[in-house]
Amino acid sequence: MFLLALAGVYLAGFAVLAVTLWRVQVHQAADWKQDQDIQITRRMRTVGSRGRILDSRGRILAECRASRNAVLLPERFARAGAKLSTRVAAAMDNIRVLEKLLNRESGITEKKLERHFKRSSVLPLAVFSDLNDVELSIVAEHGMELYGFDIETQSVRHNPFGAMACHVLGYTGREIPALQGDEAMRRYHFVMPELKGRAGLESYYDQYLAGVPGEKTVNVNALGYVTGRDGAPGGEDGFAGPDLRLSIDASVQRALEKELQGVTGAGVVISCIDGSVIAIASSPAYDLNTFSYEALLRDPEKPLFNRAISGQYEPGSTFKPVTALAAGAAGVDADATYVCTGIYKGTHCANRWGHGPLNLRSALAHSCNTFFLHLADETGGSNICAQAKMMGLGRRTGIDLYGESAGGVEPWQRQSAIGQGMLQVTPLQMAVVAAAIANGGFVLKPRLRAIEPWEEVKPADALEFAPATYAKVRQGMEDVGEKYLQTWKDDRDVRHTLAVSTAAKTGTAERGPRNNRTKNTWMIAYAPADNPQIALSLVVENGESGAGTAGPRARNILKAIFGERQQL
Amino acid sequence: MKFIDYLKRFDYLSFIAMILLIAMGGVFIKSAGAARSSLLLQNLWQTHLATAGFAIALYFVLSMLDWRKIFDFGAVPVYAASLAMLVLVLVAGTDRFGGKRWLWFFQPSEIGKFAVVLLLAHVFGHLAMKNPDEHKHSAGTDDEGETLEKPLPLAGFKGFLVATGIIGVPALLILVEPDLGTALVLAPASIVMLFAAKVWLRGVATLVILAAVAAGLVLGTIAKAESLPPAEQQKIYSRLPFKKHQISRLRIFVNPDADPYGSGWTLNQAKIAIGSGSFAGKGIGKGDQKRLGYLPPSVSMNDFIFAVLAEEAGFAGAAAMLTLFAVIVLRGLWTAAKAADGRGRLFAVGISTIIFFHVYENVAMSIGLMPITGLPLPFISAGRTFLVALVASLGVMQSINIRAYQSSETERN
Repeated sequence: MFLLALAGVYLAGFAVLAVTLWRVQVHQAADWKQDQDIQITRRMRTVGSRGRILDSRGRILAECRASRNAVLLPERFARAGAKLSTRVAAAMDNIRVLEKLLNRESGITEKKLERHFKRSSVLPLAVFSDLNDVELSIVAEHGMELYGFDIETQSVRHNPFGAMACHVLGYTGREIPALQGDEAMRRYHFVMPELKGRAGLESYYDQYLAGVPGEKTVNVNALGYVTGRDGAPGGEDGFAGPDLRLSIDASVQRALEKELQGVTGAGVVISCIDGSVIAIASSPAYDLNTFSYEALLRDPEKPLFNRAISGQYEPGSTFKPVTALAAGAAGVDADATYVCTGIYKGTHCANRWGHGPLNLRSALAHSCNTFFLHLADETGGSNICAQAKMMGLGRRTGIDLYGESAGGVEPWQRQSAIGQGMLQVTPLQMAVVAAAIANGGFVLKPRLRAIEPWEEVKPADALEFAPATYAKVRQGMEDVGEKYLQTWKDDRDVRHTLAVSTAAKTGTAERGPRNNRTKNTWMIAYAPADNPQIALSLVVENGESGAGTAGPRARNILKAIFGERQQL
Repeated sequence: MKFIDYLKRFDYLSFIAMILLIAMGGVFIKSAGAARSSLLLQNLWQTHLATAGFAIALYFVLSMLDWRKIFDFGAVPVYAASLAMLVLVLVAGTDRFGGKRWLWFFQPSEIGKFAVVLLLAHVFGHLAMKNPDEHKHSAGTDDEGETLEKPLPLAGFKGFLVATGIIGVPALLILVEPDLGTALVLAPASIVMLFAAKVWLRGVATLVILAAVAAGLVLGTIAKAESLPPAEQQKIYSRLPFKKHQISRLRIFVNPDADPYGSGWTLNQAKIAIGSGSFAGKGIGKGDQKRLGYLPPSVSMNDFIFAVLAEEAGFAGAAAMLTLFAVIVLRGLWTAAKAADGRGRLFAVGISTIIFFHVYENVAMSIGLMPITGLPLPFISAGRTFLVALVASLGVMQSINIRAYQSSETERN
């Protein structure tokens, strides 16, 4: 009897256990699982790879390359001891050993190490960045005694051409992104830093180039260390960002930059048809892979300054075609002649004795100041100013870069008609002007990003040029091109000729105080003259003359684009 | 007896349940050991199974012997020996986990538990007869050497005193080690045995009620104290006659959030382990709590091995385990019912109670139903002394079971 009761009690006891276990393990299972998950899971937002920047033929101008870093994994030092200070000391020792082996400073202090162990023990700590092959093998060989290290590859921005197009390409920095909206709700424990464009196209197209982020989940043990990094339970990989294709042609860019080497100045080559920028450079330049920002900031030559789009210069005689076109629009006779006597209302001409009788064509060819000052008086300053504005001066071109200068045409002065005075233009604006003259009046919007075949591009403003004047302007410029660009003799006195005919205008703008005058020497051009494809503008600071300084350089660039005519 | 009879009467059910539980022990000790850093602990499951092998051999030997002879020749010597060891361990024992509990490689307190049951059964067996007349024919003699016509000796208060002596001396020695949990488990075992033998029934019942009330008061005080600010708490706790860690265990029983980084941590991690196991478990060897060290490694192989089992085998595994234990306990009571004499009956009751209480306390404390004590899970927790003593006792019970109907037969050995 008693035994029966006892059996009942015991059975009841087991039942109680079973029921409670059912409640805990089945009913409450989700809650407990969640408790556990909160305890053991860490979520990290990882970065997708940044897209590349390519030239018009697919050559890589900017890409992400793998930088191999030696990183320290805090969880490997758990075996050093239970106390934090012991672990940090053990890690520090190993870092010192590696420093000796690699003969390189790590820049990690005891304090920094301790802080990392305390706050970010889930993350690897980068100790040495960008190991070369020798260093890599050293670290790998000493894996046994140097426990706690691992090699991690990190995305680093790399420009295979070094300094080419450095101003337009720009550079990136590493930044932990601020999460918005949905992402902020996901409550990551750690957000990995991303590459973010700080200048140039990297900055302008930053969102476009950025990759799609991924997620990585790891389990941590009771001490907060990651267990089994390779077998991490969850996460999605990020995506690489799309490539950015430019209209820039690296070979033309190289030719342009070669001509600017050693001088201060800028040059732009654009398409007369759609405004695509084929080459654009500013000098001095810097190597995107190795530059020091602080050093460049302190450099008095201001290498960080993109003179092609931000440099404001007086255009000098290159403005004269605009004056001419303004005159034509105002109704001035294109065939009118004027006798240059060498001086007009106090301003001298380049030829002190005067050019004699000139018409519009010959005046352009000789770049006669007095002719154009006289023409300006006939046309009216406000008309010329208006023409200038219509051709894009005084406002930004709208190129896809930040930091463009608008230049300025006002206040209008007498000298503005010949490209001096308060008239300020950028090399880019002058290239647009040259292209407008070349293509019959379309003021194009320059663009660095390649225009895709399916893209609808808004048509450019079409200006009306007075036909007779326009013809004269073109002829005049063709004469200039013929004279300064078409043919030349090399060191061995052999005559060379460009494969195409050109049209051009020189310019020499004087500036500075009377006792220290310098000259900004210009050349604008387009080619081929009969069927224009490209327009070019080039300015060299501190030069001799437009023809002498800028001319040969422009010619070399055209030679690079079109080649020479074969000699028979 | 003939071997064929042995085979016919052998209780296979309880034997197989025991083997299965021992196997489970091997599996989960191995799993828990995998998270440990010392090779010794990683291979502890091999020691466990080897010890089990030895114990099972002992089981068979004991089951083939006549249990009455074991009682006659063994009860007192075993008890005396364990008393001696308990004294010895206090003097010359190895210090581990804050207490002198080990003598060489075994724990005297684990043997003590069974020795007490054995002696109690031997001494008071005559009071637990199915038929009081049978004791005249029993092979055992009663301690007092009194004549058999007098009222059953030791049935009254005097018996109670004797019982207290038999239980109390080793209990005290165990308490001093200190090992409150083991000492405590003697209480239900002996109380049930005393009830079964009807020793001073009324007195014992009263004492039990009083003890329950006292326990209730203690828990109530602690519950009340938990809702007070810390300063007040200290005043109350310092007045209770318990050690610090015992108080903290009682506190977290009452208030699970009380000691989040001490005892509360273990309990919470155990609950997480058990809860996250859900129905089917996470798979043997794949338990996260033990793998990641949230369940403290020092307890994952013994006291809290159930948490590992529950996380890895789920409710299904836990329920299977409980079923196997239920089989053993209930078969034990069945053996008690058909035991040839009172000693066997008492012994079976005592052993079954010990097993039940261990299982109940161990599982309940892992889920917060009972306060944490150091009671291991029979067959499954790593602990060689306990395993051998337990299996040996079951061997004796098997002998009792086999010879159950021999009282009316001619004695044959």
